[in-house]
Amino acid sequence: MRLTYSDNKLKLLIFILVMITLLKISHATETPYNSRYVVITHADTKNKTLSISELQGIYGLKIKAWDDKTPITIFSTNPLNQEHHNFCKRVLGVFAHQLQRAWDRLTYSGRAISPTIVSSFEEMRDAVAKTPGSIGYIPQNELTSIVYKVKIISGDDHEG
Amino acid sequence: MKVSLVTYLALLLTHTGLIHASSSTMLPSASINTFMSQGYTQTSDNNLYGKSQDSYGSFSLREFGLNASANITPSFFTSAQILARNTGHDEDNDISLDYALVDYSHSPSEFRTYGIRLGRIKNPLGFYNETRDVAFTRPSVILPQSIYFDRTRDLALSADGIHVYNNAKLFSHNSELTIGILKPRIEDKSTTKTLLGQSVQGSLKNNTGYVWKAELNTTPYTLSLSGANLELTYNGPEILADKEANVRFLINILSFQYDSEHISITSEYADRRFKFTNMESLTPFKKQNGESFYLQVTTLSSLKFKYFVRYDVLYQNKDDRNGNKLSRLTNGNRPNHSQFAKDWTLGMRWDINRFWVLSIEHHWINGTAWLPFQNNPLPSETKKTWRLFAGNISFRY
Repeated sequence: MRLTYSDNKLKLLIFILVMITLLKISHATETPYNSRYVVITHADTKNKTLSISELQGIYGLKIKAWDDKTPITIFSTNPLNQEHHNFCKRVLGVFAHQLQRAWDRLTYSGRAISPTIVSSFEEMRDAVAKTPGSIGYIPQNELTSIVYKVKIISGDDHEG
Repeated sequence: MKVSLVTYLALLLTHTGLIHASSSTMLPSASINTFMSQGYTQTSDNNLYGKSQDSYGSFSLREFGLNASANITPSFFTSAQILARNTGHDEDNDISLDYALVDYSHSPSEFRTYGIRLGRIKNPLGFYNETRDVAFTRPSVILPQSIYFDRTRDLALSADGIHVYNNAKLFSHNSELTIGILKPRIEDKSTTKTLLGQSVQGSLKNNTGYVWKAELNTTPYTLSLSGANLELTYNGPEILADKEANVRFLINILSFQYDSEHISITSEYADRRFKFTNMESLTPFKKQNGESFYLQVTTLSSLKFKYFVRYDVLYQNKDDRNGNKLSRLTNGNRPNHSQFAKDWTLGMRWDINRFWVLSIEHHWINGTAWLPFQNNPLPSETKKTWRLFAGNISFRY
């Protein structure tokens, strides 16, 4: 079979059909989640409160250490999951695609280390409990005393 | 060494060994990433990345990279990346050191960080230059070619030098300012040929140059101005011995992005100025001022699927937008359409999972201004209007 570029119109039609089909599949597979998220850190972390601005700085890979100079290790769930999108939008106040773009740009130009991805909230909680200097997020109902729940101060506080 | 599939496999095996080594030590502040991609191009006319006019298109576009980073102390950071890229050119890239740097930073408060980077550093030009060879960081298979064209890519990629930077946050505005002094890379002979013509006998040498970027992010908008100023000296038999021949190059890029939950709008404009001194025997013009622009709308209708439409336009010379002057000066060897390119693109991206991404797109192009000479050695044999279908599958770990 010899395929030449005169099949262009056919190819375009297939392309559009595939796009429409995939659009339908993708819409059908989305499920809404309504969990409330809490930000957690390793129990020894000195910072007991964080402003939204600090939290954005940490997840945006710009703030690299806690006040006592302990390096921050960031945990995240799979960036393609709805949970991650909800956390970004509701808690961080940025969209997941913006955060992903920042991670990619910084990780592949030698400016920062990308967050560690975990596959479940249970794993996130255990990893944060075991890793000094770490930060993560879990739904409120998964919170146990093995990790510390950080108080998030909303708004932009410039008290420093 | 040619970048063959065998090399890729060998590197893949090496990297998996490295990954195991790092994960067993559980260093929280060190990480290793790898990425690779396989592209496909098919064109109605003209060649892009291999013999793409062939019936079955071309699978020449392949990329591989491996990077390692470590926070040595909270202030000291180090990172390096190697890169191999096959584009179906005669002078295919060997494995090269893409960047290797140390970064020392200080944060007087949570709202400010300043620092210095030393070594081989990616040039922070526009939104995408720093990660242009990492397939899944691109919004499309092929970046908007009016700005991120391949012809002189080694000048744009990264350079050896020093960057100083200051990141500040004021209320909800983030600003980033970077200024660098550098020695550009001219490893590829095609850079000299692209700038001075295919029959050039000498070569360009790099002098000290400058790069800068100022970015302001005020959700939902990002605005940035970046640029570079380079001077290249030419040595070759075409130049009289007592004269110094050089090319000065100045580029400024204005970048804009708007983000909402379901749509993202990206646009960039670039102004490129060349000034040639004592090079009358090599270039038809003493000065050349080109411009580039694109507007791209991406829909984020779902977590895994993104669709985009883009219009991208490039003029090599604002004084010769239709290419008539150059065509006349070169007796048609450089046809009119080699001086402009207008490209409509429609495409989609599917994030299969967090390791695999599949992208496809279709281009309708008028003009060949960014078409690589390496794939099309005779400009007079190129076609003015052409179509391109491109696909890419990429993997990262």
